[in-house]
Amino acid sequence: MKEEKKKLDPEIKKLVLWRLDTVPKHFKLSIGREGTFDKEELKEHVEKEDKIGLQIVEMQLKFIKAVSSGELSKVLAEA
Amino acid sequence: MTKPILITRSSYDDATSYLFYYAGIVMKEAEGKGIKVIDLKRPNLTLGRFTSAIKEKQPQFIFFNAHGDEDAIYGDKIGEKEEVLIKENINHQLLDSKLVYARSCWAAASLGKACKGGCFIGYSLPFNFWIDERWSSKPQNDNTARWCLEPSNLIVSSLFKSNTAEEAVTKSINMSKKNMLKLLKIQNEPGVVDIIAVLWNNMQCLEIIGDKEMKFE
Repeated sequence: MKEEKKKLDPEIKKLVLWRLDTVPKHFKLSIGREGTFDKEELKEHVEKEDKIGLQIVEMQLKFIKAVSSGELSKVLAEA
Repeated sequence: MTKPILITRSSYDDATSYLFYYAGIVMKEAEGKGIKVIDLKRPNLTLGRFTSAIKEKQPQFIFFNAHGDEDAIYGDKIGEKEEVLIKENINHQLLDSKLVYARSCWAAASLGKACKGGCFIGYSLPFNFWIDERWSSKPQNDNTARWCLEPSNLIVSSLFKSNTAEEAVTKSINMSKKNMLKLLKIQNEPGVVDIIAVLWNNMQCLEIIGDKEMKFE
């Protein structure tokens, strides 16, 4: 039986799309062999929930969790 | 006398052209210190030249600037195809007993763990960086990319100063933290949080596999 593709939680998707909306227009993110993407392209990949989109979501979520858990602040306070 | 360093420098898209430029900076540092550099770039960045350089010149330190996967590191793009330089279970033994820094995505996830007897520094997830597209043809003028690429260059500069692999990585991580703090102090600058997020992720997936006490000497 073909495994059904796991859908992103709509609230998480919305959160990441909102985060990406704040990226300056002239910024492009280099994601290795996948290429270099501006904010509209990043948002498109997240909308489609494709491989690149899921990588972006994972990266954003890790950072948001580090901020909200205080881990980032702790690391920077000890710098 | 110090054994040579082998540096691979592909340059065929935005990401690799930035890595090419930043690797050039540390290459000049090496030359200034009298370290012999084997600079593999187009048209010499091929599997054949890479293999013979390792076998004949016996570099102790190999610094990849390239795209990567969990099980491979690439060289140049020939036609539409990227040539594989190192592939796990095919020729990864070329890296055994070497000090390796792979400025490539994913390579520490599996390939780095297959290499024995040396030290492999790399990233277990994608190594990302932001570029300012207004400067993409002149990486030297791009102050956005600098935040993420200078800490990675520091790994190599520190190894040139006889730091251990662990000391070099610690210095790089400390520079990333200092960059984050500097960015936080910049007011009204769009994109600051985005750069911090990428610095954070790169820091989190930077790994040292093998002998952490290994030095380039």
